[in-house]
Amino acid sequence: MTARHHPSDETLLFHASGNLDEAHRVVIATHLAGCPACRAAVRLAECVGGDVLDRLEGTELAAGALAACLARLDAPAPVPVHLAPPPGMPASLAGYRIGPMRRPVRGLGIATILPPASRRAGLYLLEVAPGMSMPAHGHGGLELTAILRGAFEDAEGVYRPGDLAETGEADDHTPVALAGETCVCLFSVSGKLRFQSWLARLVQPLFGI
Amino acid sequence: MHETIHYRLATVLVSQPGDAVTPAHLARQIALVASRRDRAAFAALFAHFAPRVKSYMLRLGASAPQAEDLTQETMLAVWRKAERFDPALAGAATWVFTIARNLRIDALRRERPTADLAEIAEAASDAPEADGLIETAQSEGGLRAALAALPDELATLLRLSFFEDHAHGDISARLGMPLGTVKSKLRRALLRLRVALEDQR
Ligand SMILES: [Zn+2]
Repeated sequence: MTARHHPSDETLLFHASGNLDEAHRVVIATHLAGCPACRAAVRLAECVGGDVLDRLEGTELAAGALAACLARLDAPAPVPVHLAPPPGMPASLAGYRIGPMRRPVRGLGIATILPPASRRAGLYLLEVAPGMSMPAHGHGGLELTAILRGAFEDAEGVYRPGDLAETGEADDHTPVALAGETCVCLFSVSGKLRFQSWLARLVQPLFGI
Repeated sequence: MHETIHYRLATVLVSQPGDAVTPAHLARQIALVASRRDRAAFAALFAHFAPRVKSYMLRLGASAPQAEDLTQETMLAVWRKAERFDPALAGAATWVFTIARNLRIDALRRERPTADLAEIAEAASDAPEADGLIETAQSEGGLRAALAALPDELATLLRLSFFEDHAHGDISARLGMPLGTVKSKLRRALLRLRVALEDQR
Protein backbone atom coordinates (compact mmCIF):
# COMPACT_ATOMS: atom_id res chain seq x y z
CA MET A 1 0.00 0.00 0.00
CA THR A 2 1.67 3.18 -1.14
CA ALA A 3 0.15 6.40 0.12
CA ARG A 4 -0.75 8.96 -2.51
CA HIS A 5 -1.41 11.93 -0.27
CA HIS A 6 1.26 13.04 2.19
CA PRO A 7 1.86 15.74 4.78
CA SER A 8 3.69 18.81 3.51
CA ASP A 9 7.47 18.96 3.90
CA GLU A 10 7.21 21.75 6.44
CA THR A 11 4.78 19.76 8.58
CA LEU A 12 7.19 16.81 8.53
CA LEU A 13 9.95 19.23 9.53
CA PHE A 14 7.92 20.43 12.52
CA HIS A 15 7.19 16.82 13.40
CA ALA A 16 10.93 16.08 13.37
CA SER A 17 11.71 19.14 15.45
CA GLY A 18 9.22 18.06 18.12
CA ASN A 19 7.28 21.29 17.77
CA LEU A 20 3.95 19.95 16.55
CA ASP A 21 1.04 19.68 18.95
CA GLU A 22 0.45 16.22 20.35
CA ALA A 23 -2.80 15.82 18.38
CA HIS A 24 -1.07 16.53 15.07
CA ARG A 25 1.87 14.37 16.06
CA VAL A 26 -0.37 11.34 16.53
CA VAL A 27 -1.97 11.80 13.11
CA ILE A 28 1.44 12.22 11.44
CA ALA A 29 2.76 9.13 13.25
CA THR A 30 -0.20 7.17 11.90
CA HIS A 31 0.82 8.10 8.37
CA LEU A 32 4.56 7.56 8.96
CA ALA A 33 4.00 3.98 10.07
CA GLY A 34 2.96 3.15 6.50
CA CYS A 35 5.02 5.63 4.49
CA PRO A 36 8.76 5.06 3.99
CA ALA A 37 9.07 8.22 1.86
CA CYS A 38 7.82 10.47 4.65
CA ARG A 39 9.92 8.60 7.21
CA ALA A 40 12.96 9.42 5.08
CA ALA A 41 11.94 13.09 5.00
CA VAL A 42 11.64 13.10 8.80
CA ARG A 43 15.06 11.47 9.11
CA LEU A 44 16.60 14.14 6.93
CA ALA A 45 15.02 16.85 9.07
CA GLU A 46 16.38 15.08 12.16
CA CYS A 47 19.85 15.34 10.64
CA VAL A 48 19.32 19.09 10.53
CA GLY A 49 18.29 18.83 14.19
CA GLY A 50 21.58 17.10 14.94
CA ASP A 51 23.43 19.94 13.27
CA VAL A 52 21.41 22.50 15.22
CA LEU A 53 22.24 20.76 18.49
CA ASP A 54 25.90 20.47 17.61
CA ARG A 55 26.20 24.16 16.84
CA LEU A 56 24.55 25.39 20.01
CA GLU A 57 26.86 27.06 22.42
CA GLY A 58 26.80 24.93 25.55
CA THR A 59 25.40 26.08 28.87
CA GLU A 60 27.40 25.11 31.90
CA LEU A 61 25.78 22.42 34.00
CA ALA A 62 25.28 22.55 37.74
CA ALA A 63 28.34 21.60 39.77
CA GLY A 64 28.62 17.84 40.09
CA ALA A 65 26.26 17.11 37.19
CA LEU A 66 28.57 14.54 35.61
CA ALA A 67 29.19 12.82 38.96
CA ALA A 68 25.45 12.74 39.61
CA CYS A 69 24.85 11.21 36.21
CA LEU A 70 27.65 8.64 36.61
CA ALA A 71 26.15 7.64 39.95
CA ARG A 72 22.87 6.83 38.25
CA LEU A 73 24.31 4.72 35.43
CA ASP A 74 24.03 1.43 37.26
CA ALA A 75 20.52 1.98 38.54
CA PRO A 76 18.11 -0.39 36.81
CA ALA A 77 16.45 1.15 33.77
CA PRO A 78 12.73 1.68 34.12
CA VAL A 79 10.81 -1.23 32.67
CA PRO A 80 9.18 -0.04 29.44
CA VAL A 81 5.41 -0.02 29.62
CA HIS A 82 3.73 -1.88 26.82
CA LEU A 83 0.56 -0.14 25.90
CA ALA A 84 -1.87 -1.47 23.36
CA PRO A 85 -3.91 0.75 21.08
CA PRO A 86 -7.70 0.57 21.43
CA PRO A 87 -9.13 -2.40 19.44
CA GLY A 88 -8.94 -1.92 15.69
CA MET A 89 -6.87 1.26 16.01
CA PRO A 90 -3.32 1.91 14.72
CA ALA A 91 -0.24 1.63 16.96
CA SER A 92 0.05 5.42 17.07
CA LEU A 93 -2.97 5.41 19.41
CA ALA A 94 -1.32 3.09 21.94
CA GLY A 95 -2.13 4.34 25.41
CA TYR A 96 -4.87 6.70 24.22
CA ARG A 97 -8.47 6.39 25.23
CA ILE A 98 -11.18 7.12 22.73
CA GLY A 99 -14.16 8.95 24.20
CA PRO A 100 -17.75 7.85 23.60
CA MET A 101 -18.85 7.95 19.95
CA ARG A 102 -21.51 10.58 19.63
CA ARG A 103 -23.86 10.75 16.70
CA PRO A 104 -25.27 14.21 16.30
CA VAL A 105 -26.81 13.34 12.94
CA ARG A 106 -27.42 10.16 11.00
CA GLY A 107 -24.28 9.02 9.26
CA LEU A 108 -21.80 10.95 11.37
CA GLY A 109 -19.91 9.82 14.47
CA ILE A 110 -17.46 11.89 16.49
CA ALA A 111 -15.37 10.69 19.42
CA THR A 112 -12.88 12.88 21.25
CA ILE A 113 -9.41 11.49 21.89
CA LEU A 114 -7.69 14.69 23.01
CA PRO A 115 -9.92 17.64 23.78
CA PRO A 116 -8.73 20.97 22.43
CA ALA A 117 -7.22 23.39 24.90
CA SER A 118 -6.35 27.04 24.61
CA ARG A 119 -3.10 26.48 22.77
CA ARG A 120 -3.52 22.83 21.90
CA ALA A 121 -5.03 21.10 18.91
CA GLY A 122 -7.85 18.60 19.44
CA LEU A 123 -7.77 15.00 18.24
CA TYR A 124 -10.90 13.13 17.16
CA LEU A 125 -12.01 9.88 15.64
CA LEU A 126 -14.57 10.46 12.90
CA GLU A 127 -16.95 8.01 11.27
CA VAL A 128 -18.56 9.33 8.14
CA ALA A 129 -21.15 7.31 6.25
CA PRO A 130 -20.89 7.04 2.45
CA GLY A 131 -22.14 10.18 0.77
CA MET A 132 -21.90 12.32 3.89
CA SER A 133 -19.55 15.28 3.86
CA MET A 134 -16.89 15.66 6.51
CA PRO A 135 -18.25 17.89 9.22
CA ALA A 136 -15.65 20.50 9.90
CA HIS A 137 -12.85 22.70 8.71
CA GLY A 138 -10.24 24.29 10.86
CA HIS A 139 -9.65 27.80 9.74
CA GLY A 140 -6.62 29.64 10.91
CA GLY A 141 -4.82 26.47 11.85
CA LEU A 142 -3.38 23.22 10.69
CA GLU A 143 -5.84 20.39 10.03
CA LEU A 144 -4.71 16.81 9.46
CA THR A 145 -6.78 13.77 8.54
CA ALA A 146 -5.40 10.23 8.42
CA ILE A 147 -7.72 7.75 6.75
CA LEU A 148 -8.02 4.46 8.60
CA ARG A 149 -10.85 2.78 6.68
CA GLY A 150 -13.09 3.62 3.75
CA ALA A 151 -12.29 6.58 1.50
CA PHE A 152 -13.22 10.18 0.85
CA GLU A 153 -12.83 12.53 -2.04
CA ASP A 154 -12.26 16.24 -2.39
CA ALA A 155 -10.92 18.56 -5.09
CA GLU A 156 -7.43 17.07 -4.60
CA GLY A 157 -8.55 13.54 -5.35
CA VAL A 158 -9.45 10.35 -3.53
CA TYR A 159 -8.02 9.59 -0.11
CA ARG A 160 -7.70 5.98 1.02
CA PRO A 161 -6.32 4.22 4.11
CA GLY A 162 -2.69 5.27 4.62
CA ASP A 163 -3.26 8.65 2.99
CA LEU A 164 -3.01 11.90 4.87
CA ALA A 165 -4.94 15.04 4.04
CA GLU A 166 -3.37 18.29 5.17
CA THR A 167 -5.35 21.47 4.94
CA GLY A 168 -4.52 24.89 6.16
CA GLU A 169 -6.15 28.21 6.75
CA ALA A 170 -6.76 29.00 3.10
CA ASP A 171 -8.62 25.85 2.13
CA ASP A 172 -12.33 25.76 1.74
CA HIS A 173 -13.22 22.44 0.28
CA THR A 174 -15.82 19.83 1.04
CA PRO A 175 -14.55 16.29 1.38
CA VAL A 176 -17.24 13.64 0.88
CA ALA A 177 -17.07 10.00 2.03
CA LEU A 178 -17.19 7.61 -0.93
CA ALA A 179 -19.68 4.82 -1.46
CA GLY A 180 -18.95 1.51 0.24
CA GLU A 181 -17.50 1.25 3.71
CA THR A 182 -17.99 3.92 6.38
CA CYS A 183 -15.01 6.24 6.29
CA VAL A 184 -13.08 6.20 9.57
CA CYS A 185 -10.43 8.88 10.13
CA LEU A 186 -8.21 10.37 12.75
CA PHE A 187 -8.62 14.11 12.65
CA SER A 188 -6.54 16.79 14.38
CA VAL A 189 -7.22 20.48 14.21
CA SER A 190 -5.84 23.63 15.76
CA GLY A 191 -7.55 26.96 15.67
CA LYS A 192 -11.24 27.59 15.55
CA LEU A 193 -13.44 25.18 13.68
CA ARG A 194 -15.98 26.35 11.19
CA PHE A 195 -18.75 23.94 10.41
CA GLN A 196 -20.96 23.87 7.42
CA SER A 197 -24.31 25.55 7.82
CA TRP A 198 -26.94 23.53 9.67
CA LEU A 199 -24.45 20.91 10.75
CA ALA A 200 -22.66 23.59 12.69
CA ARG A 201 -25.27 24.08 15.35
CA LEU A 202 -25.55 20.35 15.90
CA VAL A 203 -21.90 19.49 15.98
CA GLN A 204 -20.20 22.56 17.41
CA PRO A 205 -20.81 21.74 21.10
CA LEU A 206 -19.36 18.26 20.64
CA PHE A 207 -16.00 19.65 19.63
CA GLY A 208 -15.88 21.78 22.72
CA ILE A 209 -14.95 24.91 20.83
CA MET B 1 13.23 41.81 8.91
CA HIS B 2 16.71 40.91 7.77
CA GLU B 3 18.22 42.43 10.84
CA THR B 4 16.02 40.20 12.96
CA ILE B 5 17.12 37.18 11.04
CA HIS B 6 20.74 38.03 11.38
CA TYR B 7 20.34 38.69 15.05
CA ARG B 8 18.73 35.27 15.36
CA LEU B 9 21.42 33.73 13.25
CA ALA B 10 23.94 35.04 15.72
CA THR B 11 22.14 33.50 18.67
CA VAL B 12 21.52 30.15 17.03
CA LEU B 13 24.93 29.72 15.53
CA VAL B 14 27.29 31.13 18.09
CA SER B 15 29.52 28.14 18.22
CA GLN B 16 31.12 27.04 15.05
CA PRO B 17 31.15 23.32 14.40
CA GLY B 18 34.15 21.18 14.93
CA ASP B 19 35.83 22.23 18.14
CA ALA B 20 38.19 19.31 17.67
CA VAL B 21 35.57 16.65 18.38
CA THR B 22 34.65 14.99 15.11
CA PRO B 23 31.32 13.23 14.51
CA ALA B 24 33.24 10.00 13.87
CA HIS B 25 34.97 10.35 17.23
CA LEU B 26 31.65 10.83 19.01
CA ALA B 27 30.17 7.82 17.20
CA ARG B 28 33.13 5.74 18.41
CA GLN B 29 32.48 6.83 21.99
CA ILE B 30 28.88 5.67 21.71
CA ALA B 31 30.09 2.34 20.30
CA LEU B 32 32.45 1.99 23.29
CA VAL B 33 29.60 2.62 25.70
CA ALA B 34 27.58 -0.01 23.87
CA SER B 35 30.29 -2.65 23.65
CA ARG B 36 31.92 -2.39 27.08
CA ARG B 37 30.00 0.12 29.19
CA ASP B 38 33.00 2.42 28.96
CA ARG B 39 32.61 5.22 31.52
CA ALA B 40 35.48 7.31 30.14
CA ALA B 41 33.78 7.27 26.73
CA PHE B 42 30.52 8.24 28.42
CA ALA B 43 32.22 11.13 30.21
CA ALA B 44 33.53 12.35 26.84
CA LEU B 45 30.02 12.20 25.41
CA PHE B 46 28.71 14.02 28.46
CA ALA B 47 31.31 16.76 28.09
CA HIS B 48 30.35 17.30 24.47
CA PHE B 49 26.59 16.88 24.52
CA ALA B 50 25.27 17.70 27.99
CA PRO B 51 25.96 21.48 27.81
CA ARG B 52 24.43 21.59 24.32
CA VAL B 53 21.35 19.64 25.38
CA LYS B 54 20.92 22.04 28.29
CA SER B 55 21.06 24.99 25.91
CA TYR B 56 18.56 23.27 23.64
CA MET B 57 16.10 22.80 26.51
CA LEU B 58 16.58 26.37 27.74
CA ARG B 59 16.04 27.76 24.25
CA LEU B 60 12.75 25.87 24.12
CA GLY B 61 11.52 27.50 27.28
CA ALA B 62 12.51 25.06 30.00
CA SER B 63 13.43 26.53 33.37
CA ALA B 64 17.02 26.03 34.50
CA PRO B 65 16.15 23.12 36.84
CA GLN B 66 13.98 21.49 34.15
CA ALA B 67 16.74 21.90 31.58
CA GLU B 68 19.21 20.35 34.00
CA ASP B 69 16.87 17.40 34.67
CA LEU B 70 16.09 16.80 31.02
CA THR B 71 19.81 16.91 30.25
CA GLN B 72 20.48 14.26 32.91
CA GLU B 73 17.68 12.11 31.50
CA THR B 74 19.00 12.53 27.96
CA MET B 75 22.50 11.47 28.93
CA LEU B 76 21.18 8.55 30.96
CA ALA B 77 19.22 7.43 27.88
CA VAL B 78 22.42 7.72 25.82
CA TRP B 79 24.01 5.24 28.24
CA ARG B 80 21.05 2.88 28.26
CA LYS B 81 20.24 2.95 24.56
CA ALA B 82 23.81 2.97 23.22
CA GLU B 83 23.36 -0.53 21.73
CA ARG B 84 20.60 0.82 19.56
CA PHE B 85 22.78 3.51 18.03
CA ASP B 86 23.33 2.65 14.39
CA PRO B 87 25.82 4.96 12.66
CA ALA B 88 24.36 3.94 9.31
CA LEU B 89 21.02 5.49 10.29
CA ALA B 90 22.05 8.59 12.20
CA GLY B 91 25.14 10.52 13.22
CA ALA B 92 25.93 10.89 16.93
CA ALA B 93 24.49 14.42 17.16
CA THR B 94 21.33 13.43 15.28
CA TRP B 95 20.82 10.45 17.57
CA VAL B 96 21.28 12.52 20.72
CA PHE B 97 19.01 15.19 19.27
CA THR B 98 16.18 12.67 18.79
CA ILE B 99 16.58 11.39 22.36
CA ALA B 100 16.51 14.93 23.78
CA ARG B 101 13.54 15.87 21.61
CA ASN B 102 11.55 12.79 22.67
CA LEU B 103 12.26 13.31 26.36
CA ARG B 104 11.15 16.91 26.08
CA ILE B 105 7.94 15.82 24.34
CA ASP B 106 7.29 13.26 27.09
CA ALA B 107 7.86 15.87 29.77
CA LEU B 108 5.41 18.24 28.14
CA ARG B 109 2.78 15.66 27.41
CA ARG B 110 -0.44 15.79 29.32
CA GLU B 111 -0.35 13.55 32.35
CA ARG B 112 -1.16 10.25 30.74
CA PRO B 113 0.92 7.24 29.83
CA THR B 114 1.34 6.85 26.11
CA ALA B 115 3.62 4.78 23.98
CA ASP B 116 6.80 6.28 22.59
CA LEU B 117 5.86 7.57 19.16
CA ALA B 118 9.43 7.54 17.99
CA GLU B 119 9.70 3.85 18.82
CA ILE B 120 6.53 3.08 16.92
CA ALA B 121 7.93 4.85 13.87
CA GLU B 122 11.24 3.06 14.37
CA ALA B 123 9.58 -0.33 14.57
CA ALA B 124 7.87 0.31 11.25
CA SER B 125 10.99 1.47 9.48
CA ASP B 126 12.81 -1.75 8.58
CA ALA B 127 12.66 -0.92 4.89
CA PRO B 128 15.95 0.53 3.65
CA GLU B 129 15.93 4.20 2.74
CA ALA B 130 15.06 4.49 -0.90
CA ASP B 131 16.95 7.61 -1.82
CA GLY B 132 20.29 7.38 -0.02
CA LEU B 133 20.12 11.07 0.92
CA ILE B 134 20.39 10.25 4.61
CA GLU B 135 23.70 8.50 4.05
CA THR B 136 25.03 11.55 2.26
CA ALA B 137 23.69 13.82 4.98
CA GLN B 138 25.40 11.73 7.65
CA SER B 139 28.66 11.38 5.78
CA GLU B 140 31.48 13.49 7.15
CA GLY B 141 30.56 17.10 6.47
CA GLY B 142 27.83 16.17 4.01
CA LEU B 143 24.95 17.94 5.68
CA ARG B 144 27.08 20.93 6.66
CA ALA B 145 28.11 21.42 3.05
CA ALA B 146 24.50 21.12 1.90
CA LEU B 147 23.33 23.63 4.52
CA ALA B 148 26.15 25.95 3.57
CA ALA B 149 24.89 25.85 -0.01
CA LEU B 150 21.54 27.31 1.07
CA PRO B 151 20.97 31.05 1.06
CA ASP B 152 21.52 32.36 4.60
CA GLU B 153 17.90 33.24 5.10
CA LEU B 154 16.66 29.75 4.25
CA ALA B 155 19.28 28.00 6.36
CA THR B 156 18.44 30.23 9.30
CA LEU B 157 14.71 29.64 9.00
CA LEU B 158 15.35 25.92 8.84
CA ARG B 159 17.34 26.06 12.08
CA LEU B 160 14.86 28.38 13.75
CA SER B 161 12.08 25.90 13.07
CA PHE B 162 13.66 23.71 15.76
CA PHE B 163 13.00 26.34 18.39
CA GLU B 164 9.54 27.60 17.59
CA ASP B 165 6.08 26.24 18.02
CA HIS B 166 4.45 25.40 14.75
CA ALA B 167 0.80 25.74 15.51
CA HIS B 168 0.87 29.28 16.74
CA GLY B 169 3.04 30.85 14.13
CA ASP B 170 5.80 31.78 16.58
CA ILE B 171 8.42 32.06 13.86
CA SER B 172 6.12 34.13 11.76
CA ALA B 173 5.39 36.48 14.65
CA ARG B 174 9.02 36.78 15.56
CA LEU B 175 10.22 37.50 12.07
CA GLY B 176 7.24 39.61 11.10
CA MET B 177 6.58 37.31 8.13
CA PRO B 178 3.16 35.91 7.28
CA LEU B 179 2.83 32.24 8.23
CA GLY B 180 2.25 31.30 4.60
CA THR B 181 5.55 32.91 3.65
CA VAL B 182 7.38 31.08 6.42
CA LYS B 183 5.91 27.79 5.25
CA SER B 184 6.77 28.30 1.61
CA LYS B 185 10.31 29.37 2.51
CA LEU B 186 10.73 26.28 4.69
CA ARG B 187 9.45 24.13 1.86
CA ARG B 188 11.95 25.73 -0.49
CA ALA B 189 14.74 25.28 2.06
CA LEU B 190 14.04 21.54 2.35
CA LEU B 191 13.84 21.15 -1.40
CA ARG B 192 17.16 22.93 -1.90
CA LEU B 193 18.73 20.90 0.87
CA ARG B 194 17.76 17.73 -0.98
CA VAL B 195 19.11 19.08 -4.24
CA ALA B 196 22.38 20.07 -2.55
CA LEU B 197 22.72 16.56 -1.07
CA GLU B 198 21.97 14.97 -4.42
CA ASP B 199 24.65 17.11 -6.04
CA GLN B 200 27.18 15.64 -3.64
CA ARG B 201 26.51 12.10 -4.73
ZN1 LIG C 1 3.89 9.94 3.20
